Amino acid sequence: MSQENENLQRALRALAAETAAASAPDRVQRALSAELRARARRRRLATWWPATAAAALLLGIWLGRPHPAGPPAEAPSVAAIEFAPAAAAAPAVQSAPKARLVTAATPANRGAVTPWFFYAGVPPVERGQVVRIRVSAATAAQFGVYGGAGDVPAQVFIGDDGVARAIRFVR
Amino acid sequence: MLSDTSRLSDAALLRRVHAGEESAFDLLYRRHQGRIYRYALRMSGSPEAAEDVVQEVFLAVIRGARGFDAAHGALASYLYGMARNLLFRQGGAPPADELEEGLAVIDADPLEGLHQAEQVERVRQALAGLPAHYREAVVLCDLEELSYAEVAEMLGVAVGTVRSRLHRARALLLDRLSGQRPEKERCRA
Repeated sequence: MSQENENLQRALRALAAETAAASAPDRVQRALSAELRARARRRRLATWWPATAAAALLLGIWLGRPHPAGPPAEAPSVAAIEFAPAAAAAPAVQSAPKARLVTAATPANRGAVTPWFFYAGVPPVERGQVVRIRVSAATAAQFGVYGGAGDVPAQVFIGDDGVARAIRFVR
Repeated sequence: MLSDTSRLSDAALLRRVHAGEESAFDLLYRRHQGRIYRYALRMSGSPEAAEDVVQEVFLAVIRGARGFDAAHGALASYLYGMARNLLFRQGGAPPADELEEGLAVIDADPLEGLHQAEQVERVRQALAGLPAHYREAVVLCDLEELSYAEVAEMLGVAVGTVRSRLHRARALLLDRLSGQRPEKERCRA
Protein backbone atom coordinates (compact mmCIF):
# COMPACT_ATOMS: atom_id res chain seq x y z
CA MET A 1 0.00 0.00 0.00
CA SER A 2 1.36 3.43 -0.87
CA GLN A 3 2.26 5.93 1.79
CA GLU A 4 -0.69 8.23 1.00
CA ASN A 5 -3.12 5.32 1.21
CA GLU A 6 -1.67 4.26 4.53
CA ASN A 7 -2.05 7.77 5.88
CA LEU A 8 -5.59 7.92 4.57
CA GLN A 9 -6.43 4.59 6.20
CA ARG A 10 -4.96 5.79 9.47
CA ALA A 11 -6.97 8.99 9.32
CA LEU A 12 -10.15 7.04 8.49
CA ARG A 13 -9.54 4.72 11.45
CA ALA A 14 -9.07 7.72 13.70
CA LEU A 15 -12.27 9.25 12.32
CA ALA A 16 -14.13 5.98 12.95
CA ALA A 17 -12.78 5.80 16.50
CA GLU A 18 -13.97 9.35 17.16
CA THR A 19 -17.59 8.37 16.60
CA ALA A 20 -17.35 4.71 17.56
CA ALA A 21 -19.29 5.21 20.76
CA ALA A 22 -21.83 7.64 19.34
CA SER A 23 -25.43 6.66 19.83
CA ALA A 24 -28.84 8.25 19.71
CA PRO A 25 -29.86 10.22 22.80
CA ASP A 26 -31.98 8.42 25.39
CA ARG A 27 -34.97 10.60 24.58
CA VAL A 28 -35.30 8.82 21.23
CA GLN A 29 -35.75 5.46 22.93
CA ARG A 30 -38.17 6.94 25.45
CA ALA A 31 -40.29 8.43 22.68
CA LEU A 32 -40.27 5.17 20.74
CA SER A 33 -41.19 3.11 23.80
CA ALA A 34 -44.06 5.49 24.51
CA GLU A 35 -45.28 5.03 20.94
CA LEU A 36 -45.06 1.26 21.30
CA ARG A 37 -47.12 1.38 24.50
CA ALA A 38 -49.68 3.67 22.89
CA ARG A 39 -50.03 1.33 19.93
CA ALA A 40 -50.46 -1.68 22.22
CA ARG A 41 -53.13 0.24 24.13
CA ARG A 42 -54.95 1.16 20.93
CA ARG A 43 -54.80 -2.45 19.75
CA ARG A 44 -56.24 -3.73 23.03
CA LEU A 45 -58.94 -1.11 22.84
CA ALA A 46 -59.76 -2.06 19.26
CA THR A 47 -60.20 -5.65 20.41
CA TRP A 48 -62.34 -4.99 23.42
CA TRP A 49 -64.31 -1.87 22.76
CA PRO A 50 -67.00 -3.46 20.56
CA ALA A 51 -67.70 -6.06 23.24
CA THR A 52 -67.59 -3.45 25.98
CA ALA A 53 -69.79 -1.11 24.02
CA ALA A 54 -72.24 -3.91 23.35
CA ALA A 55 -72.35 -4.83 27.02
CA ALA A 56 -72.92 -1.21 27.96
CA LEU A 57 -75.66 -0.95 25.37
CA LEU A 58 -77.39 -4.06 26.61
CA LEU A 59 -77.24 -2.81 30.15
CA GLY A 60 -78.47 0.62 29.13
CA ILE A 61 -81.34 -0.79 27.13
CA TRP A 62 -82.28 -3.21 29.84
CA LEU A 63 -82.22 -0.55 32.55
CA GLY A 64 -84.24 1.78 30.36
CA ARG A 65 -86.90 -0.72 29.42
CA PRO A 66 -90.34 -0.12 30.90
CA HIS A 67 -91.01 -2.88 33.36
CA PRO A 68 -94.44 -4.47 33.17
CA ALA A 69 -95.10 -3.79 36.81
CA GLY A 70 -93.65 -0.30 36.73
CA PRO A 71 -95.52 2.99 36.55
CA PRO A 72 -97.10 3.28 33.10
CA ALA A 73 -96.88 7.07 33.04
CA GLU A 74 -93.14 7.09 32.44
CA ALA A 75 -92.11 7.16 28.81
CA PRO A 76 -89.81 4.31 27.89
CA SER A 77 -86.33 5.38 26.99
CA VAL A 78 -85.93 2.56 24.55
CA ALA A 79 -87.71 2.16 21.28
CA ALA A 80 -87.55 -0.72 18.90
CA ILE A 81 -87.20 0.45 15.32
CA GLU A 82 -87.43 -1.50 12.16
CA PHE A 83 -84.92 -0.64 9.48
CA ALA A 84 -86.11 -0.99 5.94
CA PRO A 85 -83.24 -3.21 4.66
CA ALA A 86 -81.31 -5.62 6.80
CA ALA A 87 -77.82 -4.27 6.17
CA ALA A 88 -75.91 -6.56 8.46
CA ALA A 89 -72.73 -6.61 6.44
CA ALA A 90 -72.63 -2.90 5.70
CA PRO A 91 -69.35 -1.62 7.15
CA ALA A 92 -70.59 1.87 7.74
CA VAL A 93 -73.97 3.47 8.17
CA GLN A 94 -74.08 6.84 6.48
CA SER A 95 -77.05 8.17 8.35
CA ALA A 96 -79.98 6.86 10.24
CA PRO A 97 -82.21 5.17 7.69
CA LYS A 98 -85.85 5.92 7.41
CA ALA A 99 -87.44 4.00 10.16
CA ARG A 100 -90.81 3.60 11.62
CA LEU A 101 -91.39 3.35 15.27
CA VAL A 102 -92.96 0.29 16.68
CA THR A 103 -93.49 -0.54 20.28
CA ALA A 104 -90.92 -2.47 22.19
CA ALA A 105 -93.43 -5.15 22.84
CA THR A 106 -94.05 -5.85 19.19
CA PRO A 107 -93.13 -9.43 18.34
CA ALA A 108 -90.05 -9.26 16.14
CA ASN A 109 -90.32 -12.46 14.30
CA ARG A 110 -91.07 -11.39 10.77
CA GLY A 111 -87.60 -11.76 9.25
CA ALA A 112 -84.11 -12.96 9.88
CA VAL A 113 -83.41 -10.21 12.36
CA THR A 114 -85.36 -8.51 15.10
CA PRO A 115 -86.09 -4.83 14.95
CA TRP A 116 -83.38 -2.52 16.24
CA PHE A 117 -83.59 -1.72 19.92
CA PHE A 118 -82.31 1.83 20.23
CA TYR A 119 -80.86 3.21 23.40
CA ALA A 120 -82.51 6.58 23.67
CA GLY A 121 -80.19 8.04 26.29
CA VAL A 122 -77.46 9.19 23.91
CA PRO A 123 -77.32 11.93 21.29
CA PRO A 124 -77.86 10.91 17.67
CA VAL A 125 -74.95 10.37 15.30
CA GLU A 126 -74.60 10.62 11.56
CA ARG A 127 -72.21 7.75 10.99
CA GLY A 128 -71.28 4.52 12.65
CA GLN A 129 -70.58 0.85 12.20
CA VAL A 130 -72.48 -2.37 12.62
CA VAL A 131 -70.52 -4.88 14.67
CA ARG A 132 -71.44 -8.55 15.00
CA ILE A 133 -71.38 -10.02 18.48
CA ARG A 134 -72.91 -12.94 20.36
CA VAL A 135 -74.93 -12.50 23.53
CA SER A 136 -76.08 -15.07 26.00
CA ALA A 137 -79.48 -16.66 25.57
CA ALA A 138 -80.55 -15.24 28.92
CA THR A 139 -79.74 -11.70 27.83
CA ALA A 140 -81.50 -12.18 24.49
CA ALA A 141 -84.54 -13.55 26.30
CA GLN A 142 -84.83 -10.28 28.16
CA PHE A 143 -85.53 -8.69 24.80
CA GLY A 144 -88.09 -11.30 23.92
CA VAL A 145 -85.71 -13.29 21.74
CA TYR A 146 -85.63 -16.99 22.51
CA GLY A 147 -83.04 -18.85 20.49
CA GLY A 148 -82.42 -21.96 22.52
CA ALA A 149 -79.69 -22.66 25.02
CA GLY A 150 -76.65 -21.30 23.10
CA ASP A 151 -75.51 -17.77 22.43
CA VAL A 152 -77.58 -15.62 20.15
CA PRO A 153 -75.94 -13.74 17.29
CA ALA A 154 -76.62 -10.04 17.39
CA GLN A 155 -75.57 -6.86 15.67
CA VAL A 156 -74.68 -3.68 17.48
CA PHE A 157 -74.76 -0.27 15.89
CA ILE A 158 -71.87 1.80 17.24
CA GLY A 159 -71.64 5.47 16.44
CA ASP A 160 -68.40 7.10 15.28
CA ASP A 161 -68.00 8.46 18.81
CA GLY A 162 -67.57 4.88 20.01
CA VAL A 163 -70.89 4.75 21.85
CA ALA A 164 -73.20 1.85 21.11
CA ARG A 165 -76.64 3.01 20.07
CA ALA A 166 -78.71 0.02 19.07
CA ILE A 167 -78.83 -3.73 18.97
CA ARG A 168 -80.77 -6.30 17.06
CA PHE A 169 -80.76 -10.05 17.22
CA VAL A 170 -80.30 -12.51 14.40
CA ARG A 171 -82.72 -15.35 14.51
CA MET B 1 -36.17 -13.22 31.48
CA LEU B 2 -33.81 -10.73 29.89
CA SER B 3 -31.21 -13.44 29.31
CA ASP B 4 -33.86 -15.59 27.61
CA THR B 5 -34.91 -12.74 25.39
CA SER B 6 -31.36 -11.69 24.64
CA ARG B 7 -30.72 -15.01 22.93
CA LEU B 8 -33.61 -14.51 20.53
CA SER B 9 -32.97 -13.80 16.88
CA ASP B 10 -33.89 -10.46 15.39
CA ALA B 11 -36.84 -12.00 13.59
CA ALA B 12 -38.19 -13.51 16.81
CA LEU B 13 -37.74 -10.20 18.62
CA LEU B 14 -39.51 -8.43 15.80
CA ARG B 15 -42.52 -10.72 16.18
CA ARG B 16 -42.64 -9.90 19.89
CA VAL B 17 -42.38 -6.20 19.15
CA HIS B 18 -45.38 -6.50 16.86
CA ALA B 19 -47.25 -8.15 19.71
CA GLY B 20 -46.47 -5.05 21.78
CA GLU B 21 -43.73 -6.49 24.01
CA GLU B 22 -41.67 -3.56 25.22
CA SER B 23 -38.70 -5.56 26.51
CA ALA B 24 -38.28 -7.10 23.05
CA PHE B 25 -38.28 -3.66 21.50
CA ASP B 26 -35.71 -2.38 24.01
CA LEU B 27 -33.41 -5.24 23.14
CA LEU B 28 -33.85 -4.84 19.40
CA TYR B 29 -33.25 -1.10 19.75
CA ARG B 30 -30.09 -1.61 21.79
CA ARG B 31 -28.81 -4.12 19.27
CA HIS B 32 -29.15 -1.87 16.26
CA GLN B 33 -29.57 1.78 17.11
CA GLY B 34 -25.86 2.51 17.55
CA ARG B 35 -24.95 1.32 14.09
CA ILE B 36 -27.85 3.10 12.46
CA TYR B 37 -27.10 6.31 14.34
CA ARG B 38 -23.40 6.23 13.46
CA TYR B 39 -24.12 5.43 9.84
CA ALA B 40 -26.55 8.35 9.61
CA LEU B 41 -24.17 10.63 11.51
CA ARG B 42 -21.22 9.78 9.29
CA MET B 43 -23.27 10.10 6.14
CA SER B 44 -24.98 13.36 7.05
CA GLY B 45 -22.46 14.92 9.44
CA SER B 46 -25.42 16.11 11.52
CA PRO B 47 -26.37 14.65 14.93
CA GLU B 48 -29.89 16.04 14.54
CA ALA B 49 -30.37 14.35 11.17
CA ALA B 50 -28.96 11.11 12.59
CA GLU B 51 -31.38 11.28 15.52
CA ASP B 52 -34.30 11.80 13.14
CA VAL B 53 -33.21 8.85 11.05
CA VAL B 54 -32.98 6.55 14.08
CA GLN B 55 -36.42 7.65 15.21
CA GLU B 56 -37.98 7.10 11.78
CA VAL B 57 -36.32 3.72 11.28
CA PHE B 58 -37.49 2.34 14.62
CA LEU B 59 -40.94 3.86 14.23
CA ALA B 60 -41.21 1.83 11.05
CA VAL B 61 -40.17 -1.23 13.06
CA ILE B 62 -42.92 -0.53 15.60
CA ARG B 63 -45.41 -0.06 12.80
CA GLY B 64 -44.70 -3.48 11.40
CA ALA B 65 -41.40 -3.32 9.45
CA ARG B 66 -43.34 -3.66 6.23
CA GLY B 67 -41.30 -5.32 3.53
CA PHE B 68 -38.94 -7.14 5.87
CA ASP B 69 -38.60 -10.84 5.22
CA ALA B 70 -36.14 -12.73 7.40
CA ALA B 71 -35.79 -15.33 4.64
CA HIS B 72 -34.39 -12.71 2.28
CA GLY B 73 -31.90 -10.89 4.46
CA ALA B 74 -30.82 -9.77 7.87
CA LEU B 75 -32.75 -7.20 9.85
CA ALA B 76 -29.59 -5.09 10.07
CA SER B 77 -29.50 -4.78 6.28
CA TYR B 78 -33.16 -3.87 6.24
CA LEU B 79 -32.61 -1.16 8.86
CA TYR B 80 -29.57 0.21 7.04
CA GLY B 81 -31.58 0.26 3.84
CA MET B 82 -34.34 2.23 5.49
CA ALA B 83 -31.85 4.68 7.00
CA ARG B 84 -30.22 5.04 3.61
CA ASN B 85 -33.53 5.85 1.92
CA LEU B 86 -34.32 8.40 4.58
CA LEU B 87 -30.92 10.03 4.21
CA PHE B 88 -31.22 10.19 0.43
CA ARG B 89 -34.71 11.59 0.77
CA GLN B 90 -33.41 14.28 3.11
CA GLY B 91 -30.39 15.14 1.01
CA GLY B 92 -31.74 14.24 -2.40
CA ALA B 93 -30.75 11.15 -4.34
CA PRO B 94 -27.35 11.48 -5.94
CA PRO B 95 -27.53 11.96 -9.69
CA ALA B 96 -25.97 9.18 -11.73
CA ASP B 97 -23.33 11.41 -13.32
CA GLU B 98 -21.79 11.99 -9.91
CA LEU B 99 -20.45 8.50 -10.16
CA GLU B 100 -18.38 9.44 -13.16
CA GLU B 101 -16.33 12.12 -11.51
CA GLY B 102 -12.84 12.38 -12.95
CA LEU B 103 -9.71 11.98 -10.86
CA ALA B 104 -6.56 14.01 -10.90
CA VAL B 105 -3.20 12.34 -10.64
CA ILE B 106 -1.88 12.68 -7.10
CA ASP B 107 1.83 12.99 -6.90
CA ALA B 108 2.23 13.66 -3.19
CA ASP B 109 0.63 12.45 0.04
CA PRO B 110 -1.90 15.12 0.99
CA LEU B 111 -1.89 14.05 4.66
CA GLU B 112 1.83 13.87 5.16
CA GLY B 113 3.27 16.19 7.78
CA LEU B 114 -0.12 16.92 9.38
CA HIS B 115 -1.00 16.12 12.97
CA GLN B 116 -3.55 13.37 13.42
CA ALA B 117 -6.26 15.79 14.53
CA GLU B 118 -5.70 17.84 11.40
CA GLN B 119 -5.69 14.72 9.26
CA VAL B 120 -8.96 13.57 10.75
CA GLU B 121 -10.59 16.95 10.29
CA ARG B 122 -9.47 17.16 6.67
CA VAL B 123 -10.65 13.64 5.96
CA ARG B 124 -13.98 14.44 7.57
CA GLN B 125 -14.41 17.47 5.34
CA ALA B 126 -13.30 15.64 2.23
CA LEU B 127 -15.65 12.75 3.04
CA ALA B 128 -18.59 15.12 3.48
CA GLY B 129 -17.89 16.49 0.01
CA LEU B 130 -17.85 13.11 -1.74
CA PRO B 131 -20.81 12.07 -3.89
CA ALA B 132 -23.21 10.04 -1.78
CA HIS B 133 -22.50 6.66 -3.39
CA TYR B 134 -18.79 6.98 -2.74
CA ARG B 135 -19.23 8.46 0.72
CA GLU B 136 -21.47 5.52 1.52
CA ALA B 137 -18.82 3.01 0.43
CA VAL B 138 -16.23 4.62 2.70
CA VAL B 139 -18.64 4.94 5.62
CA LEU B 140 -19.83 1.35 5.42
CA CYS B 141 -16.54 -0.37 4.59
CA ASP B 142 -13.91 1.80 6.28
CA LEU B 143 -15.80 3.38 9.17
CA GLU B 144 -18.52 0.83 9.95
CA GLU B 145 -16.15 -2.00 9.01
CA LEU B 146 -18.85 -4.05 7.33
CA SER B 147 -17.74 -6.77 4.95
CA TYR B 148 -18.01 -6.27 1.20
CA ALA B 149 -20.71 -8.93 1.14
CA GLU B 150 -22.76 -7.17 3.81
CA VAL B 151 -22.47 -3.85 2.03
CA ALA B 152 -23.34 -5.45 -1.29
CA GLU B 153 -26.47 -7.01 0.21
CA MET B 154 -27.48 -3.75 1.81
CA LEU B 155 -26.98 -1.67 -1.32
CA GLY B 156 -28.36 -4.31 -3.64
CA VAL B 157 -25.25 -4.37 -5.81
CA ALA B 158 -22.56 -6.91 -6.63
CA VAL B 159 -19.56 -7.34 -4.36
CA GLY B 160 -17.34 -6.22 -7.22
CA THR B 161 -19.28 -2.98 -7.46
CA VAL B 162 -18.69 -2.32 -3.76
CA ARG B 163 -14.96 -2.93 -4.24
CA SER B 164 -14.70 -0.62 -7.23
CA ARG B 165 -16.76 2.10 -5.54
CA LEU B 166 -14.56 1.93 -2.47
CA HIS B 167 -11.41 2.05 -4.54
CA ARG B 168 -12.68 5.04 -6.46
CA ALA B 169 -13.95 6.69 -3.28
CA ARG B 170 -10.51 6.46 -1.65
CA ALA B 171 -8.89 7.87 -4.75
CA LEU B 172 -11.42 10.70 -4.77
CA LEU B 173 -10.73 11.35 -1.10
CA LEU B 174 -7.02 11.64 -1.74
CA ASP B 175 -7.74 13.88 -4.69
CA ARG B 176 -9.88 16.18 -2.62
CA LEU B 177 -7.47 16.16 0.28
CA SER B 178 -4.71 17.16 -2.03
CA GLY B 179 -6.95 19.96 -3.34
CA GLN B 180 -7.53 21.17 0.22
CA ARG B 181 -3.88 21.78 0.92
CA PRO B 182 -2.35 25.09 -0.06
CA GLU B 183 -0.03 24.95 -3.06
CA LYS B 184 3.01 25.79 -0.92
CA GLU B 185 2.35 22.91 1.46
CA ARG B 186 1.82 20.45 -1.37
CA CYS B 187 5.11 21.46 -2.96
CA ARG B 188 6.88 21.00 0.33
CA ALA B 189 5.46 17.52 0.64
